[in-house]
Amino acid sequence: MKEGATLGRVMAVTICFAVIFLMVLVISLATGPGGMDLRGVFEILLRGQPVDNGESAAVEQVIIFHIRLPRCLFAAIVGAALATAGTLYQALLRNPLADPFILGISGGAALGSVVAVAAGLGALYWLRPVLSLAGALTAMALVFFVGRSGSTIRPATLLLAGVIVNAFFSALIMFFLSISTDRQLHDITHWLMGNLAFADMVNLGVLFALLAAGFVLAYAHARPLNLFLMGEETAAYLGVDVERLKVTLFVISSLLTALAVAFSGIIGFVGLIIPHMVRMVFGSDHRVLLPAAFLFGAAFLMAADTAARSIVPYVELPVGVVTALCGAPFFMYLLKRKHY
Amino acid sequence: MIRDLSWSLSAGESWGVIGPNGSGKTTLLKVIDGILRPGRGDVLMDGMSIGGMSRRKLARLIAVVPQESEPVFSFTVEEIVLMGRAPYLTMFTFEGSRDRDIARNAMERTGVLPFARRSMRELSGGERQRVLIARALAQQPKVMLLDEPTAFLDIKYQKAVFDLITDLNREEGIAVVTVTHDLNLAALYCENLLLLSRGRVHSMGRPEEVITEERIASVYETEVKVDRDSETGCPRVILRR
Repeated sequence: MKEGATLGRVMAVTICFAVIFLMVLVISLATGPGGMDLRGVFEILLRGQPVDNGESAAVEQVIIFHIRLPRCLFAAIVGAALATAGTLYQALLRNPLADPFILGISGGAALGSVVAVAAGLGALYWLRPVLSLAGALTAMALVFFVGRSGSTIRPATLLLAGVIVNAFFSALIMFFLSISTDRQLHDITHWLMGNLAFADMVNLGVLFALLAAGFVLAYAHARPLNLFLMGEETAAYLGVDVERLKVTLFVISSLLTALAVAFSGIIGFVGLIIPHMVRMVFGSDHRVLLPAAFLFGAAFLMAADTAARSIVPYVELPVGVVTALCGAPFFMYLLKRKHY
Repeated sequence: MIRDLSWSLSAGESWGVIGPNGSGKTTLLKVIDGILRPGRGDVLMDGMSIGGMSRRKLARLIAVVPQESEPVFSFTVEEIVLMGRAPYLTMFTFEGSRDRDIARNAMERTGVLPFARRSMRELSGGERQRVLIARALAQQPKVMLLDEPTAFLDIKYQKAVFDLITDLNREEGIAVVTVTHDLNLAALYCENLLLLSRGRVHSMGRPEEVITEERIASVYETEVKVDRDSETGCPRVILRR
């Protein structure tokens, strides 16, 4: 596992994780109250329709294609976005313990969502992700301008700016919570814990396109990212335009996080532990790390969401609960290790 | 801050930059490599101002060996040395066989090839420093700048690193500029010395000319004795209590 990155190695790792992803997808499609076995799922997927026609078969088809598949793909997109953003943040801050929400995005998104609920939008339900996105982008802009000293961005200052912005938005959120009704409170809390119920086929296409664009842009900078990990001066000595790289990293990862959070709430730990787990096995070369984290993040969140839907019968846990339960112990284990 | 500095480096020369803390040694390296831009004046390479060159182009001409430090993320020796090829590679491309050969050569020259697949963490300070020199070598530069390469090393590795630098200078024809605190090593290994004091050039020339009692005592503000090695004639700085 200690070889350098070559095209062959990147392809091998990508294919390996793609296979894992597909396996998780199929298992997820087969899991749920509809009660379907794997064979049934394969038949439906491969032939487009179940073997025996009839009412129950038609129902199965609907369940798979219109309920479970969008949900699984949505989880995959959010998981991939968070894992990629986490990888980029950890590189930008040169800190393996960074997480996509560390730079204030979660506070801004949460505030947007809280305002939407508190304003009681009713029929204008689509305004919620919009406001959430607006809040996330505002937080991102704030952190960027506060974290900039002159014409340079200093990661340490960015971190502090993120903490401050999060704290500020948290205070505003608490204000809104204090004037909310019980119903609104329940709504808000459920969103804050992260859930993937909002899945619509049309939006999935746009989301995926944005995610793919972000990923490709990030991958173009994979080698400069490796150099950047060695230190800003070292990267500059090796020919990297360091200031431009920092801005690009910050923008891509913040946008990816904002997108994920606007639609699915705050799903913690994915952005933190996925890059880590992949790094532990494959090393820190981003040419391998980025695609691996992308696919593994997608598979992981799909699995977590499936678990959230099925662990307690007929109850849908917020997926953030599952990721936290997996993530926190792993994080503790990481802290105990001498190095990352 | 550096003031009134006028200095030129010719192909294949070997220079040591010495001076007290705060005299501008590291600043000088950063100016030469274009990290810092001079308020007045310019840095020219082969007659062309480096201000107009992209960082990539500069990185193909000048390589910097910083002080080694504890790595935060784990990379293998080979991965680190291959980073030296970055200025020659474009987006989305991987290192080719030629790049790997160059890296391999660099590792062999610096004696770190046996560690190629090991993580930097497992190496000693002296070994890590040599890996950084290998990386600079892989850049195939015309000029190599070294910032206190022996700062935390014991005498075995101090000698090994300076021997290596001298070999690279003589055999590959790379012009070398070494910032160092160690006056005796500088006198022993560098062909020419640049003595800085409070951001200005105090003296420059051959070690015998630059390292004299008057100059050292004046610049470092401390009493020293300077004599000559009886065999080599190389000046030696000796401290007295």
